[in-house]
Amino acid sequence: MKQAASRTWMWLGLSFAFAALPFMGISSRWTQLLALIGINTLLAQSMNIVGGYAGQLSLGHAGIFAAGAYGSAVLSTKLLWPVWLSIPGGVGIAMLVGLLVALPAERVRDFYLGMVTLAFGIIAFEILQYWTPVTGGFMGLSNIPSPILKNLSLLGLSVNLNAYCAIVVLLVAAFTLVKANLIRSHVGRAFVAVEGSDLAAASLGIRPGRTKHLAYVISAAWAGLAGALYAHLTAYLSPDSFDLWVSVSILVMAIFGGLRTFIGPFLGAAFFTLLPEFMQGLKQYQLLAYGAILMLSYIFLPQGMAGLLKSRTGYIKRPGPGTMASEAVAVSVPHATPATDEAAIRIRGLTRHFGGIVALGGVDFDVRTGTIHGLIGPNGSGKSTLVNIVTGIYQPSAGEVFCGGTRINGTQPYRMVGFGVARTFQNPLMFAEMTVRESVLTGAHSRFRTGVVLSMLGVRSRDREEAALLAEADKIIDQVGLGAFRNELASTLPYGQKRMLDLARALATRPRTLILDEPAAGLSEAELQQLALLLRRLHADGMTILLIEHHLDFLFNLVDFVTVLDHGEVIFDGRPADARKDERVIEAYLGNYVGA
Amino acid sequence: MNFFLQLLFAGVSQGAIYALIAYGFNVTFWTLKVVNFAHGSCLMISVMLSLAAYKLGAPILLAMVCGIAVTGAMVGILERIAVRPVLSRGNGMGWVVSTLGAGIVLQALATLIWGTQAMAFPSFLFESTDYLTLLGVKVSMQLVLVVIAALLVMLVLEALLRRTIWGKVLRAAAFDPESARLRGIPVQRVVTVSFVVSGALAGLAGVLIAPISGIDPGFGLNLMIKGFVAAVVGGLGSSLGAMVGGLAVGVIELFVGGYISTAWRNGVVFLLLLLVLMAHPQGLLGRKATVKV
Repeated sequence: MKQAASRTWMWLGLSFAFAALPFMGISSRWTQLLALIGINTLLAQSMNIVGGYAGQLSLGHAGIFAAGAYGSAVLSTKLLWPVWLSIPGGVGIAMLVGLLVALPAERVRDFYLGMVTLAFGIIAFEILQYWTPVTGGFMGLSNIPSPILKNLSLLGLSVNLNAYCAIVVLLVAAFTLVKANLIRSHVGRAFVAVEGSDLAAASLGIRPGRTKHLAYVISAAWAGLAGALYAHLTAYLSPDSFDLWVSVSILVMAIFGGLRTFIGPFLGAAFFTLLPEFMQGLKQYQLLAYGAILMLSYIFLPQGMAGLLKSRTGYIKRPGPGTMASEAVAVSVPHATPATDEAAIRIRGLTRHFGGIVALGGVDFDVRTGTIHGLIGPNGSGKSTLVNIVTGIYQPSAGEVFCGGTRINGTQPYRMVGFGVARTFQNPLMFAEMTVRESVLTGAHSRFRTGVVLSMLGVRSRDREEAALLAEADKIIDQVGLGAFRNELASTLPYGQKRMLDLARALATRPRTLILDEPAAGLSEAELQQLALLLRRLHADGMTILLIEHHLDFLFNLVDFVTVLDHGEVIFDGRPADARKDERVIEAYLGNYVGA
Repeated sequence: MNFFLQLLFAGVSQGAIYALIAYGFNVTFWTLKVVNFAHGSCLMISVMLSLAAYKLGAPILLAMVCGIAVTGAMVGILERIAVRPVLSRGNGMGWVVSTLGAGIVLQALATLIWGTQAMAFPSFLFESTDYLTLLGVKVSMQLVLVVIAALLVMLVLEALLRRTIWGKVLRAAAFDPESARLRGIPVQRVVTVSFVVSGALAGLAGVLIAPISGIDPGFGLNLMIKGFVAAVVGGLGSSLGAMVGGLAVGVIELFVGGYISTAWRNGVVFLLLLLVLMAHPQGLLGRKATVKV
């Protein structure tokens, strides 16, 4: 805990040291370069948020940069707003533009956004050229309040280049802290989760579309600020400073510096600000180099220069001073079931066609509250289709699903957590970039009450919330037997452990009803016994479990009731002991299975 | 009325180019669910190479065939070095960045070799003064040629796809690569071939439009984006959609340019892209993407 505090002091010291540099007699060229590095750092951080953590493409980032620059310039020159208002104004305009670009994010595959943003970059450039009354067209905007023209004043004080550079450095330092808070909060984890798997994220109550919108809008704030600071540094804006190649260079700085790292944006910004400055002769090869970097870095340097340092920032806020687990707010939402006779899941007339194929042909059954209910059937009998309809991934062609009396079919997957329903996947969908601990804490996403802004500011109450839910996540990790893997990356786990992690994530949502899609597949005998033990314990705590499984010994030993599907129809629904004797079940599925 | 018809015919011709580009996107989308973000640069490089061959003394048609063939081969190589390795690393969107980077490399090379000055491309088969009278309007034969050539190529490809064993193999590999592999279909090779075909289509679109538009190293990008809009409007993956979408985008663009302002041409197409993606992302004729769980 002392470490976290000393880190903060170190950061403050470093920021002020850099901010003091201009006053220590460095040349005005270097002062200007320092300010430019700061501005480029903001741009690279902006790209890091949307393209790195959230994994979304933004190939026209210069358009958002321009929105901030022209926004603040127009507000200060044409509407005569003071600079302390016009800069936030420019940031706001950039955020609106970011939202506009991201609008289709909810509906389409991610690469469409690549083409949308690429087109946006070109259109933004054209708007700057042709919207003459506002942007000054090809002539651009001049006379922007700036230290060079000596007409920039802040709260009545004239700001010279040195002071302006110091302001830029301190703003970069502040935004870096805000970004670090964002990334190590449930909001940042939602970004990383959506990047890893839309479906898995949604099953934990994260809204993928919203999350992507948010990533674009937040990222636009950084690019917008960079733009506004740039406008008041140079005093003059013309469309040429915001063409396609600027978008490309922002991408290059972020990628070559290192996506999903803390230090990467600084490295990228410094490198690509200073290099052209001192290697004028290479200017004609600049584009070639940029293209080659984009083409090859994903293969040879996936984490950029920062990747060589092998440091991982992580997505959990270390508990700061004064946030002991003991004083953490008690977060206990017992998964006790409301005293009701209502079935946990009631399925009525559920039908689903795929083209001409009937996957489900009018299925009825109840999963009684507080029971372990087995669902079995041959391959292709419609089990997974049924699970996917119950959890909102598919829409039924006809029929209804109720959860505790509420109709839930036709709602979105991310709403299921709100109904107390959690699920695991037949092929465990991992958040590859996250550790076990981070993944399970992501499972608790819907239980965070702190808003986006407060999370970014890193208020104390948020730290307490994080500490409490982390303590709970740790308990769940121990429960499923992943204690030894706590800090391993999810993608590096062996198959069986991935399954358990999938389950742990689902448990972190605090479900009343848990749907397990073939949880035993690929588990060793020891792991199977551990899983059975865990399910019994959850059952004893009152959880309802719907278990889809091919491993019949495992299943029959656990379940209170079993439903057998064949060709999309229920051929048996009742006690497991009766199922084994049922002729149709034997014929369709069990064959000569005798059972233990 | 004449003005209207002139815009319409010019729009159809422009749209035929977009349709070819959209079709090129479709071909790789079928096999790998990927579109080549260097498509625009490939279109440009094919024109540049054709021009270079022509200046070396090759007859123009032969020069064009060379340009198209080399471009196809280059895109096949691109798949091997910039798409497959990135996909195999499981990096979701990395291929967008790597193909975009490849496009930038091509454009930078073209700039270093040929400079940024706009160049003229020789007319072929017809002179720019040849015309035909359609509904009382003079239509340049070059425009007619673009439409006929584009339509013909797409129809032939469609026929190959539906009638020949090669087409069946491609469709099988696209439908379910895993089962196709189990049945002995060399899926990897099919994927490479799809990139070669896609690159050749980009090259063809380039040399068809070049005599009309004039060329410079940056001239592919805008065409690529509009070709993508055409693919989205028609429904990415749909052949008929590519043609319908291409014509729609071409005609809309020309009408906006003719009746409103040329400054609005790109903007309106961009708005169209946003609207379609928000309201009806599968396009006019595309199939809704189903999630596999």
